Amino acid sequence: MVYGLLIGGIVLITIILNILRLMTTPALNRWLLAGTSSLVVMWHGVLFDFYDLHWSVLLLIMTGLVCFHWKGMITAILVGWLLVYSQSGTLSFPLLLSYIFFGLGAALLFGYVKQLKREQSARLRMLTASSRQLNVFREVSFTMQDTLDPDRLLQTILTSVTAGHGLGFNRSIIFFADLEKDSIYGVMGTGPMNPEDGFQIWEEITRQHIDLQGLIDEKETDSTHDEQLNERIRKMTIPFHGNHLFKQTLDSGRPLHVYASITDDPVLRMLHTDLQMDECTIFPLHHQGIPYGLLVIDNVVNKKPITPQKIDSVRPIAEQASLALHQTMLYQRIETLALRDGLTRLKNHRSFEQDLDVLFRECATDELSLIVMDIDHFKHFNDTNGHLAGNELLTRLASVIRRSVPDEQMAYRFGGEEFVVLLPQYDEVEAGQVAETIRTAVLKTNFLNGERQPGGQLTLSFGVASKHTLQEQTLEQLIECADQALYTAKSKGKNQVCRWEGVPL
Amino acid sequence: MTEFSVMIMTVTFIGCILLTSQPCYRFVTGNLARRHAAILGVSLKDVSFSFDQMVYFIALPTTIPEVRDAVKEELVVEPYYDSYFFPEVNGVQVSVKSESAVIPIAYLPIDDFSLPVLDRYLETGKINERANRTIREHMIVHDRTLEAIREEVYHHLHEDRLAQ
Repeated sequence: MVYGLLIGGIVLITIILNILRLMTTPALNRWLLAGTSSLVVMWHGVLFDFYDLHWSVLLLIMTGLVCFHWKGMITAILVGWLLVYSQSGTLSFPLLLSYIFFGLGAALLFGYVKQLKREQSARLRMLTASSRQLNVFREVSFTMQDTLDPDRLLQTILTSVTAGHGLGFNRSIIFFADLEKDSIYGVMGTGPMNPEDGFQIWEEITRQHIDLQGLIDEKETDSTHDEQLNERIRKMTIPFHGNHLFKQTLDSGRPLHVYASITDDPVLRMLHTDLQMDECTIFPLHHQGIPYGLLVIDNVVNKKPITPQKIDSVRPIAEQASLALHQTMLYQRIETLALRDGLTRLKNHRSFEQDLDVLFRECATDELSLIVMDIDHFKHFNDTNGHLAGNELLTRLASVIRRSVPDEQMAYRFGGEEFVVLLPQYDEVEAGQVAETIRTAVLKTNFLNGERQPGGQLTLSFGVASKHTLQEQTLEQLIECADQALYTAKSKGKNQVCRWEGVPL
Repeated sequence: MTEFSVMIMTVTFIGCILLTSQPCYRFVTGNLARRHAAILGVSLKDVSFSFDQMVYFIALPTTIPEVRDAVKEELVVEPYYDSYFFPEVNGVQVSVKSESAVIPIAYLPIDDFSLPVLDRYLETGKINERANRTIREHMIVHDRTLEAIREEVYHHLHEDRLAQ
């Protein structure tokens, strides 16, 4: 019966006080746990006339140790010993010594267990941090290997640094360095303009539950989250050879951790004013000594400090990004060499054939027009002024064409003195108007030695053909019809635009 | 005989503390969280959360047979506490418990458990750090969250295996 009361009472006291102590502050929690053990000892004493109080004190010593470490243990030893003295009336120093030895043993055991637990937690933290870094690095590497598109590459870098599945920074921005133009300019960023925007974006992402790959894909198609930020950073241009921290970071090749609000650096002051940036880290993007740009990260929303561990976790990504940027630039350079005309910088004949083929395949039902143009009396120009002047003329003419067409990426040097322009979604009337615009622009341009041409100025003849007027919807016939129209223009006296009107060849 | 009663007292007290601390902690944080949420005028059921930042200790797709072939019931999702006497959840760990081994596969630290609504309230000063922590602790150990995490991890393991 009495044991039942003892156990029942202890369970009741413990549960009630367990609930109470967990509702309080951590400090009070410890006091309440110590108090609970005292109540339990008292309950035991009430039931058993405090006959074995000297044994019960051991529980108080243990609780004191758990709650207040050494201080708690020593206090419990002294209080317990005095309690026993008050009950028995004799001061027993062997008992005190026993308590001290018990306390020391318990402290060693408790300390050892606590140390194990601490080490376990520390290992878990380190494992978590390393695994996160490795996972992000792996995912980013796969995506980077998968693309040579610079935009997608930049999106991958930015998203991997900011997304929850990534390294979890609030915002990241990429700047490119252009040594030829002596400038560092903002290219792309991801993240909010201010904390309020940040919370909205987070809530949306949380609701939609988008993962890292999803975020990268989403950014390719929809950049509404970062539109405002991108608009702002694309207006940022800084002289490359200035005295600022961006340049110093590129020179040192090491990340720089700074507070934009308390620095005198003009670039960081600008970031602080425009983007509310404060604590941030700047990472150089460079490979084999070539500076490509900078990656800037900050926690504008939650203001979490950027620790050295976090900086270390970004470094491999920044280095991988630099390598990927290097490869992309090389690829772009090779692509330019292969698909651009070396003299005029317009796309070349090979590029024209590729684009035309794609347009015919992908937009089978859409309208498509082609302008073919040829310099009138170009042989005369070369014979009169020399081939070097002829090359200069072609270069100048290319820039006139580039400025006069709706999309300069659709203007090509077809070969020799012949140029073509592709006009998707344009019918023959609209294409004729574009040709007329070019013809007028050429007439208004002063070409060197242009006045020595027959007629006193340099002129071009144009042939225009549109897909829907063809008998056979083939690219060969489109070229042939436009060419035929060009011959018509030539035969009618040059310096004019002729359209292919659907007459069979 | 009374020495025996001291042993009974000690074992009962320590056992009771160890066995009831975590359930009591969940009960208390649940009540406190609901109270804080009521003051804010928020229903905890509607608070959206994300465990995007859950960290996997294994490479996905994995070739570890015990993990690769694990069924959903073998995935153990449990809160990770720092102390038995003063329970405070630090995160949620996921492991595969098979007959032969227990393999930890993922961990979500509580600081990375994303609750944007709470972050906003904290930033704007509508709640203090302690209330934020209490709601966060309640949400992360909630059965709904643990089940969602289990689903997510299983989905990842399963999805990536199919993708192989």
